[in-house]
Amino acid sequence: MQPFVSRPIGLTSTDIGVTYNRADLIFDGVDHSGASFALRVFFNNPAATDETGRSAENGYAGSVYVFGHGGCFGDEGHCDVPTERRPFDARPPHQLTPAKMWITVTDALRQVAQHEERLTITVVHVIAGNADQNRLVPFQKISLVTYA
Amino acid sequence: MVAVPRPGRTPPGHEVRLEYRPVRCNFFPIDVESGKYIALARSGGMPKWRVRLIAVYKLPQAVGAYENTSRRNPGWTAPRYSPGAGEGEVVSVNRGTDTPQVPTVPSVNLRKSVATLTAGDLASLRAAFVAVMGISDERGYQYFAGIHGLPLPGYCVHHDAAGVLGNLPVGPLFLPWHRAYLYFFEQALQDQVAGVTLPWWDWTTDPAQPSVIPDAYASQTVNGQANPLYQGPIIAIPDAQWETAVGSSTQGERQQLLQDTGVDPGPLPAVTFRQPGVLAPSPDALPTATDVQNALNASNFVDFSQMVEQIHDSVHVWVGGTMSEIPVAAYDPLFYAHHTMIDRLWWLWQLKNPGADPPAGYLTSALPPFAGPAAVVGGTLDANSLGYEYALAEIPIEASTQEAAS
Repeated sequence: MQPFVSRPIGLTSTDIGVTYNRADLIFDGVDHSGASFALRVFFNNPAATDETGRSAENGYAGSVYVFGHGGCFGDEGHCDVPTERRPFDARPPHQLTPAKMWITVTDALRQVAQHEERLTITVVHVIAGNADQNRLVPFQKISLVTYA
Repeated sequence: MVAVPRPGRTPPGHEVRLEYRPVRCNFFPIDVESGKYIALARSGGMPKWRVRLIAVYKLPQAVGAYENTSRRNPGWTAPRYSPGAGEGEVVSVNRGTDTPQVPTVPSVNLRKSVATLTAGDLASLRAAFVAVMGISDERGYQYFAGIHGLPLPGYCVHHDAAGVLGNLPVGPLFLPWHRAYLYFFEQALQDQVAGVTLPWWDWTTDPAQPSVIPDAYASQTVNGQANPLYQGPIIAIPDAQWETAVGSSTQGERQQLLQDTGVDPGPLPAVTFRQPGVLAPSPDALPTATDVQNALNASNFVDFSQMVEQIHDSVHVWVGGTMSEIPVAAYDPLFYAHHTMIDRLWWLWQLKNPGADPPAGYLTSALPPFAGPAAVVGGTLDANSLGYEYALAEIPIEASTQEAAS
């Protein structure tokens, strides 16, 4: 399975702020409809794979673990998430609506920012079983957000 | 506050303390802090009384403390409570049965740590599980396990931060829905064995120690009998429903499933199973106390809910097997101990953040398929109103002979 490797982003104070107290890596649109999986995040280690050790030396910044629904068990269309919501539709969102998840990476970011001016984020998608090696990472967007 | 040595029953690194609770005193409906309790106690004479010790605190965690609590002290004044940062305030005072002037109020039940359950507690819990596992209608284990996932419809709420669609607010229903779920399941257990409560599995683990499932749930047998907490039967799911998705009828569909989910669960298992720490995406270990503390430090409900849900997910993935898949996870008895821990964390967070509720727009949100006052978000906010609270252990303490005679 191909990891997601970001384009380098700047780590100067203009980019991420000087006085941030917290930094989160936010995953939007996380698909939790399938088997449970993990997203392992590495900083400045674009070669990281699911066999890379989870250590600071390897740039490991943390993991998100996703408790999955394990596939679709209904009839055709049962697991199709509506892409828009009708007015007056007050029903709860579809259960498989993609999720927003995050990990706090404050310490890892500070550590990198001490020595580097640019940051590459690698996200390794680890899933059990015979996963499709060409499958895309199961999220729609990733952001690094710092907070004062 | 009184420190009480309890050799042999106090977990390492813990200390037992005695405290009064001013606000959530459920065994005695008088505000201790105001002194009204003491006034009544003195007028009633109280030839017998007892204190129920229900707290075991982790050291060196600071907890709230009362001063001047000795009723023998001539200079006694109403106790003053100094709130602490820990998970304290768990002792209540019970004046016994010989004080008819005290109004009768229902006592809440105590959910305790799996680690401190007595042999009697465990026997009751197992008896209750055996009983509900023997019931095939909506009072039984299969019904409740099925609510969470299969058979359809599955009602559980996970990962409901649905902001990606742009027109949906963040939906923090994970904690309220599961609190209602545990409540209704616990009621079903209590229908079978009076007073039984769901224990919580404190999976926080020192990284230097191996991550393990507690013996109460990991032992296959107990006294030569099958341990009902070791695994649960999976009966309620029709084969056709499982096969439609998992063992689908055509090879093409099956390949699509493999591609979509990356896993082929095979035929529907007859009972639950676990693979702790084995699956590829599994974390190396169970969450640490630091992980939990970080979540408890969250300043608002939505942050807390999402942080604790991610911790929750990691435990499901670590346990593996049927616990790692939403459709069948709740068939494993360990599911309820895990979720009781999650609910306890919410309870602890609520104690630290009184009034920090889910967004107001959600308070009237229904929590299907449940019905009644506990079936809306607002009805789940006060654990006491649902008849329980959390403690590590419950150790009845009788008054000394001298005390009883005074």
